[in-house]
Amino acid sequence: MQGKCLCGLIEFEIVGVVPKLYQCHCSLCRKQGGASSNAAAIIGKAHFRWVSGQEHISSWIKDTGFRSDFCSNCGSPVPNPLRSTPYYWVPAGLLEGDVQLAVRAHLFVGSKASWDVITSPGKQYETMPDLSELLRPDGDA
Amino acid sequence: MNAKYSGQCLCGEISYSVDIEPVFTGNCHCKDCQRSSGSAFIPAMIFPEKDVVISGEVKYFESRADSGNMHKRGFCPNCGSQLFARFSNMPGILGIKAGTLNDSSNYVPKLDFHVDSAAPWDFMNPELPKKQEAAQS
Ligand SMILES: [Zn+2]
Ligand SMILES: [Zn+2]
Ligand SMILES: [Zn+2]
Ligand SMILES: [Zn+2]
Repeated sequence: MQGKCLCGLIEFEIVGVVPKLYQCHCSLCRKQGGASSNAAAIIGKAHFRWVSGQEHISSWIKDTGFRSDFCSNCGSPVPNPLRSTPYYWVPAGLLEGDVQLAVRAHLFVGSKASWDVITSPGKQYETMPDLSELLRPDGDA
Repeated sequence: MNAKYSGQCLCGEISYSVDIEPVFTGNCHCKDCQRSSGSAFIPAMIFPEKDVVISGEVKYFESRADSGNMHKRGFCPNCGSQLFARFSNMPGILGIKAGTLNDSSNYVPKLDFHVDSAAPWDFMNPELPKKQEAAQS
């Protein structure tokens, strides 16, 4: 499965797994994309590969560890290694094609925007669950 | 000096304020909005550009929308936050992405549009009107 930023300079692919999505509704994730939440998958490093454009990635890291990697040309959020784990964080809006993905979890619903109406299935967490719970094979409710 | 609408990027280098009501509010589900937000859709507030006060250096990226119109998307070159939009078919108009509002409850969407391009995992508020194509056509 392929993914790319809006301008197309940065491309990547996911091989051998079907991404399971989560959405984080916290205020940092809202500000990153300008949206109601992010939408992303956590992908094991063995299943993730850069195709092009890594040299165009800019990175901003907040003192709390929150990280925003983005294309310096078009501003799209782009994948980044998830702190010290063997995983990549991959924004779902960049994925191409019609593969039927599903949102399995909603994080930080306790701080979601008032107009953000969560209608998709998936377990809702007030804050953030352990990474291990998020990665469980059948992590959906 | 409390403006009706104010917001900023993640790092704080770019901020804005507006003291009038938006002329339009709605959620765009087109593929370009998915790519630029990384998420399912962009919640947009549309204002006359002259009424928006912006501080900080915004970087704009221009691309051609499916409609053929040119679309400029403004982001913070330091932290990557997506804040603004300008449209070649609507001169004098500025779009603000509601995810960047300081008070998120200030945004009240009226419409979901470009819903025919929505991702299969994008579930919408069933109570909002839906439009297959652009909001203004
Ligand atoms: Zn790009
Ligand atoms: Zn978040
Ligand atoms: Zn910034
Ligand atoms: Zn759009």
